[in-house]
Amino acid sequence: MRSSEGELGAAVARAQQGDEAAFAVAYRIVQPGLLGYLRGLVGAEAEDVASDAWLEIARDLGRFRGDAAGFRGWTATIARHRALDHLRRQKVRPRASEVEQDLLDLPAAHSTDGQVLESLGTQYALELLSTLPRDQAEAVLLRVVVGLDGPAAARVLGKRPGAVRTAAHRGLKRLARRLGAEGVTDDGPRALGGSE
Amino acid sequence: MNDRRSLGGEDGCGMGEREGGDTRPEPAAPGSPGDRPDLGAALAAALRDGAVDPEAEERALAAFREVRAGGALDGARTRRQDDWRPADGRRRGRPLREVLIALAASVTLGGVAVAAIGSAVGARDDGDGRDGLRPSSSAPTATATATADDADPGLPGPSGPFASPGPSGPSGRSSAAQDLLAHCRAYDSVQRQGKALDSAAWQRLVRAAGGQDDVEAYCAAQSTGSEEKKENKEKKENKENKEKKENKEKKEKKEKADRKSDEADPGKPAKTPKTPGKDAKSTKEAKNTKAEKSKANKDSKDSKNNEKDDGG
Repeated sequence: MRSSEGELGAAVARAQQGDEAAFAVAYRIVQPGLLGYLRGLVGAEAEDVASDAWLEIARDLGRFRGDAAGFRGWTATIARHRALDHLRRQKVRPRASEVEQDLLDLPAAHSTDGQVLESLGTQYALELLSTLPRDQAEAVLLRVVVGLDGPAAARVLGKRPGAVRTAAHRGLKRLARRLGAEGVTDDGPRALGGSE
Repeated sequence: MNDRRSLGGEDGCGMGEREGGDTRPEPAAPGSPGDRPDLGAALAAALRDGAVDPEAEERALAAFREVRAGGALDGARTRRQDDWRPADGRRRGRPLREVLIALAASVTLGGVAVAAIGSAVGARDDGDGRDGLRPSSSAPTATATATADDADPGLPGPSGPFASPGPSGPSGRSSAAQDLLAHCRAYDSVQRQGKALDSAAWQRLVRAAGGQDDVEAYCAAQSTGSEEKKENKEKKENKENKEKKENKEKKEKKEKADRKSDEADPGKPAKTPKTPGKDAKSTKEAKNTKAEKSKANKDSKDSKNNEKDDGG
């Protein structure tokens, strides 16, 4: 992700001059993280919301000022607004309820951290995230999936950097506990408390 | 959905190598800090899902072409939410705009204020004999003030309909009286603080009362009854107080004299050890003269100062 920063910055600059190929490059670099973030927010609707977000990104590209990291933050903000609009319209919570049943069949229940992660698919990752409070889940998504730094993630969320850092830390810690727990559907802290 | 893949790649292998590969403990240290970056990478890999949908990309590119054709890429103004430059770069740009906005606002409001003042001043100017320049609508006020000016030409100040000296006099007096009462109320607390009494306001109060000892009575008189009654009371009380003062001064003089005789006594140690006899004599003389002075200036006596001198 980091190695693409210079490429992304140059691509954004050229796209702002009207270079379509450069816009395509920026799209390919940014879209995976954006889509991952949107999956965490709206689940299966992520592709549609991402499409809406890219329409807005293309429309306002001339307004944008900043480097590659700034572009990630800017696009994440737009995507987030589209996702929140979507959720408001649908009155659906970001946690996709259809995956609840899958969770029971997961091999994770009796395996180690590494084994869990090896078999961790998108749906399971989403389900894991859905166990977190909303602010922690979003902080983890922005930091880990979109790849924003602390201040940028804080700006996307409209919060203080310290609060976002704490939320991301707690979220990851909680996810680790869940993965380490004997049953993933349990309330997490039990196994960790026993092992430490 | 067949999304459950994608983690078998680099992240999963890396984790296996890190843990040693062959034997894994059952629920292996889940909370150890080393696991979290891998957990984050696993999450990212699971959610980022590398493949880009070509249709989605084509929609985005079509949108880009449309915007470019509309010319919106160039002329668009950067809003605050579009500026993701590092903080110092943003700070350099923003204040200028804010300053300009503030400047425009102040000029606008200031203009309104000046316009309002100008209209009021114009109305007042009518009274200063420039009637001919003014439209006829303002003539009545102008003539009225002109006659007023004729009536008492001795008044040099503004004599328009706005400047009526009548109400200002009593209000000024009443405010002075209120000040006085306020000073009276505060007098007790100030009295204990020593130096505060040296200030002009307190000295005025003391002077008005006719002496420090009379302030309480003076204030009591001020707070009750009408002004005339107060004046009468003041006179009476001043007399009484003067008599009291005289009595007090006499007492004090006696006491001073006693003290001086004590100091002058050669049997007791004097304050200045070098030449006790001379000092005692000189202080005695000085105090005698002071006592005479205070006798002479009964009206303006300041007993506190005398006491201070005695102490030093």
